[in-house]
Amino acid sequence: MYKIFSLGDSAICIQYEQVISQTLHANIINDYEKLLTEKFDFVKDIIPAYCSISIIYDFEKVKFISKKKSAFSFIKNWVLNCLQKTITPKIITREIKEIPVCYHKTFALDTENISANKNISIQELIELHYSKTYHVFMIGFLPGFPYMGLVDEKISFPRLNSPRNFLEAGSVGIAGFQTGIYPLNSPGGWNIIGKTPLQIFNPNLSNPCLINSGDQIKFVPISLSEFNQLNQHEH
Amino acid sequence: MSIKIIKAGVLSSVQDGGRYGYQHLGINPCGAMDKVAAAISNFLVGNDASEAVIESHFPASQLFFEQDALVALTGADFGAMINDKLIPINNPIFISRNTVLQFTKPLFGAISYLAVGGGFNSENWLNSNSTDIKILKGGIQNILKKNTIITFKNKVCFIKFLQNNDSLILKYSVNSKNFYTKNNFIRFVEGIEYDVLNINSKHNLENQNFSVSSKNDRMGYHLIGKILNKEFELEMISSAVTKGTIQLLPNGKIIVLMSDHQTTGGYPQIANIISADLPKFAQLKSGDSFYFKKINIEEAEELHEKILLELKNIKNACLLKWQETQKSFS
Repeated sequence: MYKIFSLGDSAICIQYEQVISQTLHANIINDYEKLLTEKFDFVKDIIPAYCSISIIYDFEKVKFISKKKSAFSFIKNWVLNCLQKTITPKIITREIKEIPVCYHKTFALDTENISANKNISIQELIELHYSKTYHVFMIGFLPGFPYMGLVDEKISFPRLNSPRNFLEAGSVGIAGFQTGIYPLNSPGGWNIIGKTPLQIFNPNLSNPCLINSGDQIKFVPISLSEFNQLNQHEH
Repeated sequence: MSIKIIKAGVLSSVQDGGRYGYQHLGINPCGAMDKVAAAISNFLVGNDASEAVIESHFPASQLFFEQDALVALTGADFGAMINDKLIPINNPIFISRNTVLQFTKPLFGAISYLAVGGGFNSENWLNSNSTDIKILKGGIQNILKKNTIITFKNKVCFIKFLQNNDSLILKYSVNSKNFYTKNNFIRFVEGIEYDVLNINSKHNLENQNFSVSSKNDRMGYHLIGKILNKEFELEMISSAVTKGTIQLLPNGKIIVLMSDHQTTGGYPQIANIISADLPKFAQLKSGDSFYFKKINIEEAEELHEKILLELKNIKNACLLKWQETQKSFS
């Protein structure tokens, strides 16, 4: 179930139960795709997150249709109508995307620290990280930054107290039960355990992001020499 | 057919109505901070509202016109001068080739807009010419630096208007006071997590003076005021934010998100500034103070409609005046 709120006078938020759950998120992605199918030109953005979908709308275009009626209630009704539709429950079998990650100590800035604090070996930490298929709950923070989860409790670890001023694009990190990849060089507070040679965000492509909300991601461990062969990052 | 930057300003960039349709990928909307001023500058030179313009903070760039141009400055008044003559804002002006436009002092507001008739050539990236200054795409793919050259879409010669003058100030202007200085209020509607504030803090949000801190940029404006306290702790899970969202930070201070905001945020969203007051808010400089005032969504929509209607009237009036001007010179 969900509640609908206004986000100012040009946006609306569909808020679901406030939990991080793959089952709930699969429903959210299903609702997101319903909205995309029904999308009109008054819709500027539809942004799915962990337990919400926000819609940014063109107020002027909505008023042109809604006339005397408030734009907010018009959009709210439009959303309710879209979400009630049971048509095309197209089961989206998303293929699992494989992302190579080099866990070598050159890149793994925080692996030792997690290993010491969580009392597990570095090897076990790495294996626990790549042995699971992760669900992408949200893209946010930076262009193409995937918020994925959930990592095994044994390797979950809180963010750094003070973020680093610089992390390289491709850095793979852990924050709490989430794992993510920095698409750009950026400051950042996640615990870095490896680096992918793939360019997660490439502004020169028509589809600039490698990973989308709702995707399934599997990390594939690679050696340092494999990393160097595959490296797409600028030197 | 271009302008050349002869002295860089602190933060000048090419912006338009913003980059929408990609926020689900974490790509932020960018766009003009004060969309009303950007639209008016365009109307004054006969462009569409969303044509890309040059947005400048103070100190602004010094520009050399290598070509005749019809221009308009709107938003902030930075004491603009052409060669040695002060020129007004909200007024269309012919500028002759080989003249220098510079900005001397911040008289009003924080952000100035410069539109040129026909528009500037710039990169359209993901359906927008706004410059994303973080990833250096769109517009001219960076902020304006010394020796940057920006070309015009139209090659024009205004010798018949200008004759031997370096500029000609046309005899009509837009009164934009209604958008900015009518009162000292910035109005908001309740945000999703408004009720996280305790009763005192709800009261303080509206009954104390806030001012814009020196930490303000295209991403957001940090505000200075009494610390706001929570009624209860809320386990937050990140969701989308928007321009005008007021976030409550863990230290009890608040920040208002602006054009270059991240697409998602994990702080309580206590309020959203209404669209009609965003231009006024954007034009506040660090140190400027104001009061917040809560209204409901119906009132916010009414005010939004009013602004859109005013802009439409300005657009039509500008068109009419431009046609008259052309006739009078032909």
